[in-house]
Amino acid sequence: MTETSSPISLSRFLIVTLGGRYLALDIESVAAVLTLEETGGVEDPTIHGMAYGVIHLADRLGLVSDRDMTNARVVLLSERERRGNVRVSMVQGLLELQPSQILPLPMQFRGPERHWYQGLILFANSIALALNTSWVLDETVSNCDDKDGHEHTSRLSALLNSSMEHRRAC
Amino acid sequence: MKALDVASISPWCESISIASQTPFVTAVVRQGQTLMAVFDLAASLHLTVHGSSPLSLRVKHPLGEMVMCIDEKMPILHTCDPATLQTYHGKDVPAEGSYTNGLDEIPILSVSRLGVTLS
Repeated sequence: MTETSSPISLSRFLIVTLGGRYLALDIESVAAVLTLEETGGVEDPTIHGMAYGVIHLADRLGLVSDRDMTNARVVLLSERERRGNVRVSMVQGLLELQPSQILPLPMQFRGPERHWYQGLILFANSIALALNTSWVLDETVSNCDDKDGHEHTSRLSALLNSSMEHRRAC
Repeated sequence: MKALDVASISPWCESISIASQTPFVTAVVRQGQTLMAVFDLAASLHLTVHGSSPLSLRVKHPLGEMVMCIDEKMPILHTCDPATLQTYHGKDVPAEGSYTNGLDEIPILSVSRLGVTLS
């Protein structure tokens, strides 16, 4: 009799920096990563007919946006019918984790922030805050129909593969 | 606080702030593979931590161990006769009671109520 092992379900995150903090965005909700030029210089870019409203994530997390935006990127997020864009200072790379590597927020945090984070990830001698995409997108309301929610996946993969190194948690 | 509530005392390590609406719980510290919430005791008492080399007081909280940043002066172990403990009537800290040291009434901090009763 052959023993079958169940596949380990890995969670994948895009690690970015914003206001000097590492943030982890669930790759399932990342539609694309654009340069500022690729957005056409607008706050709410429309990509393939779909509008991605700006999300003021730094304000919501009480962070001070970095002045140096040399390596800034615009991350397009999409979940169900909602879409938005987050401007980040830098994209660090992709991180694959087992669920056990996503640490829960300590229980002493008892406020609404428990809904803001999926958990905490040990990263680069610090931590990355794994954001709850639903909460991130709470700021935006999109009226556009999502013809294909994963339309940009292939483009995203190409972009990530070409410009980022894969990193591992530590 | 009771010595039994103290897990360890060590030099303070830089904390990592986390956006939060829980009063006085807005950061964590990383010690190896462990993350612990930071309770800002000084802010909850409207005080500031003294000294350039503060200490980290790791306490056993019912919701998990957490740390507090305290003055650089090493805490003193003080032995009390339980019969001398009194009720603490002050409202400034969550206390399990108090003892008298000279003319001073010293509250005994209730670790289990930190972050629960102060706001």
